Amino acid sequence: MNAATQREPPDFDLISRWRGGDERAATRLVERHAQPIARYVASLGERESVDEVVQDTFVRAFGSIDAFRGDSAFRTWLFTIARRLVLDRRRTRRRTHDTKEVADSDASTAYDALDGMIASESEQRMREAIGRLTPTQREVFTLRVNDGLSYREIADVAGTTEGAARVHYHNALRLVKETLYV
Amino acid sequence: MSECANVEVREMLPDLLHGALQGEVRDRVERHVAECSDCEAELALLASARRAMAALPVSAVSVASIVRALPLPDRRPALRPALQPDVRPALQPAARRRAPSMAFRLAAAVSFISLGGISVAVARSYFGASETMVADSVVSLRTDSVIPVSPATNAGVVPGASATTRAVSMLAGISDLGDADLESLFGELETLEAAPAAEPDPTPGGRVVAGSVTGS
Repeated sequence: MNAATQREPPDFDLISRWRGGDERAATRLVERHAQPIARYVASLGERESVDEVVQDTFVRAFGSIDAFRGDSAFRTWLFTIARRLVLDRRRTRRRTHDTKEVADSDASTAYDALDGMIASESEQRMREAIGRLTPTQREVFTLRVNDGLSYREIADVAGTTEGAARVHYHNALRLVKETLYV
Repeated sequence: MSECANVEVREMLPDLLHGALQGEVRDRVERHVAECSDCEAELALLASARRAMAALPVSAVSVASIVRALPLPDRRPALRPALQPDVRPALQPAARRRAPSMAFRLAAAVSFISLGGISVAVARSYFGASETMVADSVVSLRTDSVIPVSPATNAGVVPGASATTRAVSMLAGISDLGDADLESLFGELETLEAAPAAEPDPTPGGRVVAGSVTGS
C-alpha cells in the first residue's frame, strides 16, 4: 500500500458519507473500484457488455448498501455482485438463444482477442497460458494474483470453499508453469 | 521449473506481490525469497501474470454515467458503530435545520394555548350571561302570580321571587336542574302556554295580559 493510497479515505468512510448525502463519496468509490470490476468481468468472458455489468453492479450495490455488513472488503462484495450478474446474463442468453453452457472456449476467446495487440512476447505467452485455464481456475487465479484476494474472499466471491479455492489456485499455477516452460 | 517445498511461503507470494504482508511475516517471506531461487522465479512469474492481466484491454467505464444511475442515499444512519463517527458530521446540518423548527413549534403551541384560553373565557362570559337570563326567566315563571311587566322588572331583581326560585336562579343551567325542578319547570311552561302573552298588545283595545290589566 503506497502513501497515496494511505491518504485516501477507507471505503467504510466513503460509504458512510454517501449515506449521509455526500454524492461525491459515491463518485470516489466508483472511481476506485470500477476498473478492477471491469477487468474482473472481462476475465469472466463477459467482454461485450462490460460497462453495463459494471454499472449494474454499482447500482445494485448502492441500492442494497444496508446488506453490506463490512465482513469483507467492499471490492470483494462488488466482485460477488458482478459475478452474479454475469451468471444471470449467461442464463438469460442460454434461455434466449439456446446456446451451450458457457465453457472454456468463451473465456479463452477473451484472451485470444489480445493476440493482435502490441505486447511483449513473454506477455503474449502469459496470456495464452492463462487463456488455457478452465474458467474456474482462471477466475480464482485472477482474483488471487491480479486482485490480491485471500482464499476466504475468493470463496465468498466464487461461491465455493476456501480449500477448493486454494486447490484451484495451485492447479492454475501449475498449468501456467507447464504452458510457459514446457 | 521446480517448486519450493515451503508451501507456507509459496501461499503468501501473491500477498507479498500486493504488499499485503506486514512486519515480521513480510521480513521472513522476503528473506526466504532472497535465498530461494524457486520462490524468486515463482514471484517473478506471478508479477508477469499480474502485468498481463492488468494490461487486458477493457472498454472504458464512464464513472459519471455510473454515478448518475446510482440510487439516492436514504440518509439513514449507519447501523455499524464503526460507521457512526462518519455519519454524525453529515447529520449535523440537518440537526441545525431542525432547531428553528422546534422553536416554531413551541411558539405555535403557546399561541394555540393562549388563543384557546381567551376563547374559553369569552365563551364563558357569553354563555354565563345567557344562563343568567334563562334563570331570570325561570324566576319570573316561578312566581305564583302574574308579575306586572314594567321596565323595573326587566332590569332588576324580581321582587316577588321566592327562596326556591332564588335557589334555582343560582344554578348554572337547565342541564344542572334536578328531576323535581325540571318537572316544576315544565309545569310552569304548560301554565305559561295556557296564559296570555306577557307582551302588551300594541293594538288599542287589545287585551293587555300583564299585571292587573287583563282586559280592555
